[in-house]
Amino acid sequence: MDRKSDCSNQEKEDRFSGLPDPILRHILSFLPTKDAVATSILSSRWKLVWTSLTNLCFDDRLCLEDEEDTDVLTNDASTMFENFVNRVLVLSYPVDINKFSLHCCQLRYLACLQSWVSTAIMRNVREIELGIKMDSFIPIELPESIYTSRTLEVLKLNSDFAIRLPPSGLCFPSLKILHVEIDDGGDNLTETLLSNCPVLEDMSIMVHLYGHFATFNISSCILKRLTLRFLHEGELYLTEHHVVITAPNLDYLSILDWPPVSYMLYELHSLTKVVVDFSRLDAINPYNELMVCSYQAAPCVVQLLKFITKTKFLSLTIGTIHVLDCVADFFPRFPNLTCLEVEVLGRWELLFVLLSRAPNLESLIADIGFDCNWTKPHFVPDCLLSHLKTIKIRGIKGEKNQLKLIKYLLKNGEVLDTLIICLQRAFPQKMGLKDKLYQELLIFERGSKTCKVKVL
Amino acid sequence: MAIMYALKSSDNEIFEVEQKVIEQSETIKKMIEDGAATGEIPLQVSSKTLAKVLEWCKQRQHKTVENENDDNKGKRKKERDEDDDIKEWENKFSDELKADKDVLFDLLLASNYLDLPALLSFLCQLVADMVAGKMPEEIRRMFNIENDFTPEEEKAITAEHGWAFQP
Repeated sequence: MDRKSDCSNQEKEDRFSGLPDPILRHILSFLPTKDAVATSILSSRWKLVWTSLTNLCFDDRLCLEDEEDTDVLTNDASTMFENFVNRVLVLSYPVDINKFSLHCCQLRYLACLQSWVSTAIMRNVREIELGIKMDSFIPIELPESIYTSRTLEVLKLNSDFAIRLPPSGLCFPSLKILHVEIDDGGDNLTETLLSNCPVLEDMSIMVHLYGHFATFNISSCILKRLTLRFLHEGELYLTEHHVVITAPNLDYLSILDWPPVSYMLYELHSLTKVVVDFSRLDAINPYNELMVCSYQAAPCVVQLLKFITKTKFLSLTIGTIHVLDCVADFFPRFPNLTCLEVEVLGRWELLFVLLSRAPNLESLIADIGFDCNWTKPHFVPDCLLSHLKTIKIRGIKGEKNQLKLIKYLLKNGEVLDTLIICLQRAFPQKMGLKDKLYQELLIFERGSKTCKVKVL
Repeated sequence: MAIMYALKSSDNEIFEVEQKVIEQSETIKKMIEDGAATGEIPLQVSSKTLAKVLEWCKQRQHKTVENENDDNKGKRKKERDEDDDIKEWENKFSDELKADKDVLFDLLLASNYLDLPALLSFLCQLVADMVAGKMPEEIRRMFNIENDFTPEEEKAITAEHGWAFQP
């Protein structure tokens, strides 16, 4: 039976190989370079297709024999990997490189990195992404040529590198997007970077905190996007760190931090989107950690929120909501807010506090997850009566109190246009529940006659 | 009222489509701008494929509107967006194409010809996902690729790019 279907398959046309080269290259560009080069063995049609690839992505972790046994490469495997990168760079010459990405769990020779990156830069690379581990504890030096490249627009450093700006000061003349990992022991590198990169628009910084410096300065007139991640290494304690941001052109700000450092934000005239996530990146049990000191942390969070009240879009994660729970009354007013995304889980009362502070809210996306006791709010938030057009609620399991919440929103949402209800994922009774919910929703009173309801 | 255009497939079927739906195609947009769009717009695409293309364009149109204020997607968000109706739709669309590769390749060529970059990338990613992590023999079988190398040639290539063929 199998054999038979195999035969009929073989008579079929090979349409894949018949595609024009640009499409084949486009397809291969989505593969790790290892897999792309491996297509050279499919047939003679494929032998050279990969050689004009413009995105080269190397990852030595792909040849770890045992996935359990992380980050240990045999010497043979390392040699094979090094030869492979060298050969690919030679055989793909002289095509310009668009993106060069290199991840090594165990780089043996710094000279390899230097030579590979320099080659990419000579071939006018536009984007470089590096994540390198070596056996030494000293941060890895970046090749000098990287600082002066006129084509490099994106640089993502996913491990600790020593960034030494050239004496002239000016560096990265075309760099628009920069991701770096730093620790707090340095000489406030970001400050120097921001004042020396002439066109940097998007910066993402991961800071490892060991308890060293006190003030962390980010000041730029051209920065449009900023992502800050603070990682407390070692004991969890409230730190004395201060973050000062002055960025009149900043449009997007994302903060991930726990426990929070203190924030002072100035001149954020252009800010429209903010994501605030106070939860530990590496926490195994975030809820336990969160219980530890949300009470002490709350003032820091409220202070941060007060600086960003002009934003149009705000996203608050469950960690942030936990902290805010004990200081809900201090939640500031957001007069410009049109879109709120929030993980309230069991804390529905807080949801209504947030709604009452956002009178112009047009769109709400809420994760409500766990069931909780429904208490009808004392008054209907203004936005529900006048502006709120779309509501999306995630994590519905059809529980009684959840339905009461939906009923309330439908009844009081006087300008509601669409209500989308997302059932909890991987919920066993999902299919049956969907039909049942539709039935129940039909009889609920609707404040807006034009409101459409969708259950997903 | 939305402006409508009539598209004519290579097998002479007419599709009435809203302007903003078909303007995602740079090729058609140019035809309209050049004034070549009086009456029916003839396209070198079969009706079966064109229907699929339009299905995608209509869905895509909603996507751009809905996601406008939503570009802060971290990894966690992406996972949660699984229960998004668009994601659900895309998965279904992908599954259909994986099951009928002829349609998949017709659509690839059509998206290239009509200059629909988003659809082209989506399809290329789809094919890449089908290929990723597979052994050469599996890929050949999946797409009916005939191995025209002699065993010696095959050996030479394996030796040349050693690491690429490590499992």
